[in-house]
Amino acid sequence: MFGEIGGLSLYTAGLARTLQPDILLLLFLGTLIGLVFGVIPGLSATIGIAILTPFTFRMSTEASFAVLLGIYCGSTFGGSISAVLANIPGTISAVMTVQDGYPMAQRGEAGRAIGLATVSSFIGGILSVFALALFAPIIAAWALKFSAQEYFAVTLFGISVIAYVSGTSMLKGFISAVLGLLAGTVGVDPTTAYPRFTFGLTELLEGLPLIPLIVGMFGFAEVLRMAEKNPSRFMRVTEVGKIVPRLAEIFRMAGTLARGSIIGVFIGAVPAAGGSIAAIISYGVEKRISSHPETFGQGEPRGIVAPESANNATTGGAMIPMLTLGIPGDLVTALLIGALIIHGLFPGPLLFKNNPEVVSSIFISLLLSNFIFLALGLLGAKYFAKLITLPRDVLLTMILCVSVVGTYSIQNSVFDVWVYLVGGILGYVLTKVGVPVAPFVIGFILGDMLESYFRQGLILAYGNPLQFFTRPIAAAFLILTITLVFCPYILRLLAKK
Amino acid sequence: MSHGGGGGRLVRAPAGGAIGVGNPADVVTGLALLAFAAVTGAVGWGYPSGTAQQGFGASLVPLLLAGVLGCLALTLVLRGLFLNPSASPSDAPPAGEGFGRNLALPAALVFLLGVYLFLLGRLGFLVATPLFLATVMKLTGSPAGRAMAVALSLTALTYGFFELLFGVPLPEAALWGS
Repeated sequence: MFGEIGGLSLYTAGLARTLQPDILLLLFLGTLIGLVFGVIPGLSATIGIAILTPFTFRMSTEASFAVLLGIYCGSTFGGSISAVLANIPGTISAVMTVQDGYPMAQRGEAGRAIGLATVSSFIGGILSVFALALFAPIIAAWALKFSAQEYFAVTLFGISVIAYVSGTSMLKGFISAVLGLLAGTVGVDPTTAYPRFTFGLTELLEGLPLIPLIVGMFGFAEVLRMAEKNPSRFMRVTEVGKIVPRLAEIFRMAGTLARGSIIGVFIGAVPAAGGSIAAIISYGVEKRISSHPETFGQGEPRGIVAPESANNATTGGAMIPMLTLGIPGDLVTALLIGALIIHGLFPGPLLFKNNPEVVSSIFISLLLSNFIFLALGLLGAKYFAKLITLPRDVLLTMILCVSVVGTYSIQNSVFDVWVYLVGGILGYVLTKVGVPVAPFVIGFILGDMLESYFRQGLILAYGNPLQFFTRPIAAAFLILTITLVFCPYILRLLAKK
Repeated sequence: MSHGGGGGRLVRAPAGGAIGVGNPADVVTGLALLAFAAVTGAVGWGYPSGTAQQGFGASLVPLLLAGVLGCLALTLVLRGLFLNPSASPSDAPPAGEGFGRNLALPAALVFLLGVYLFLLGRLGFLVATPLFLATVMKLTGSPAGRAMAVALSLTALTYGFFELLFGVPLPEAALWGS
């Protein structure tokens, strides 16, 4: 089944290294930090990972991913706490949890609501890790047969999907992606080593620094957005009672949990479709099949279980295309690709073949992180809730300080912090004109690989780009990309007639 | 007459008749991107083109991308000129965005950060950082006492974390050129 991929040893290769006290401690800290970022409205896994990646620069790959995956899982769940207690989703993936979580809190069942959210997130997350561990090696083994043309077509399709679904305008999504790809051409040409767009700056010979740019586009841009709103605003939260849910109640909702988890895994594997879409779909499905749909939105427990199991199930699902094909399932996994690149690794089947211990460590870290946030959520949710009342001006200053110093610490370079500043302005301006940031970041991260595959493919095809269409898989993905780009306009024209 | 949401505006031409500008923001954005694409293309044109065996050299991808960006930017301009935003509200920027609202504080933060980076190598991390952070907090409406307390605490924490725990050297004062 696995071909050249290492078989069952793939799952155990990273056990010895990951189950070390230092890695486990980092995993715990990452999950804790992720919970904090998830609880506080306005922050998210994306910002948390962007800001904290510089801190992991000097760590081993396993340690780095323990922290980052902990943040990913913790924050995806953490958004439900503020959704239940303050009627505001802490992260966008908790957008549906508000519908029934807050009404439950209003009638004195805040603890029960958070307990259900915690256990649902845990079960969804665990099932997604099993799905990842099952499907990723199979897809990776299949992808080993790819040549440069297939990789180019698959990567281009992935970027196009993300551009298509990001933001409110497909046109602006594609503009963002192209801008990101252009930013990726700064530096020496990968084939001929000719410097491009460096304007005499030696700091740019290796390209725009990845982490400072991303931290700026998310971290500093978020600071600028927070500064626009009322920075000293306080929020009120509902009191929390007993949190641990009854097992009987969980078993009664086994069907809801299973449906939500499956939806989450599949949605997570689709590029750019993240936790929020999975949560919305899962909630809609559950409401539709319920014999009492009128209870949804009034404090129906299934209205929490369905979206929470789905949104945490996207964590494993999104890792499937990211690890096997280098296509990010969402923005967070795009940043995780960046983290891999920083450590000299590239996603794809060769990662499974040459670095099985890294892949194994990722599976194990994801699995354990779910247990950690289960414990933290059940035992500490009422304390995390107090973070929601943190003054925004203090929060803004903390994010600014951590992100600036973290960026500087990567290479002890003030130039990197200037890139951070410019990235922040760019991220802020793009949002103001309605251009989504996600395709830019993904285009930037994948641009180098895309260009290399393209030019290698051209060399293999003796300079004839039409040769790409003679390979079935490459042709299929290229046709899908073209369809994706032009179909909406054609359909709109036909509809007008 | 102005439209809500998408910010479109109907402009009357001086000599009678009306020019419809569906979304001025898109027109301006598109023109800026068109200019950027033109400049990028002009710079990329000067790079070596290479042969098919070399994958067509350093200029291929920048020129391709500049061309694609130019086409997309032109489409945005045309859409902004002729498309009524109420006909496709999904293309309008999200509510609350757009320039001209509360820009003073973000602009001040950008300026402050630039000043901080300029002073960092001269005053050193331990002097420049609390000044920077305290100023940021004051600008965001924090009382002076709290601003200074938070600024000093954050500076101490980050110094301890990076310099002492991680061994990452932070900038020292170079006022005298040392």
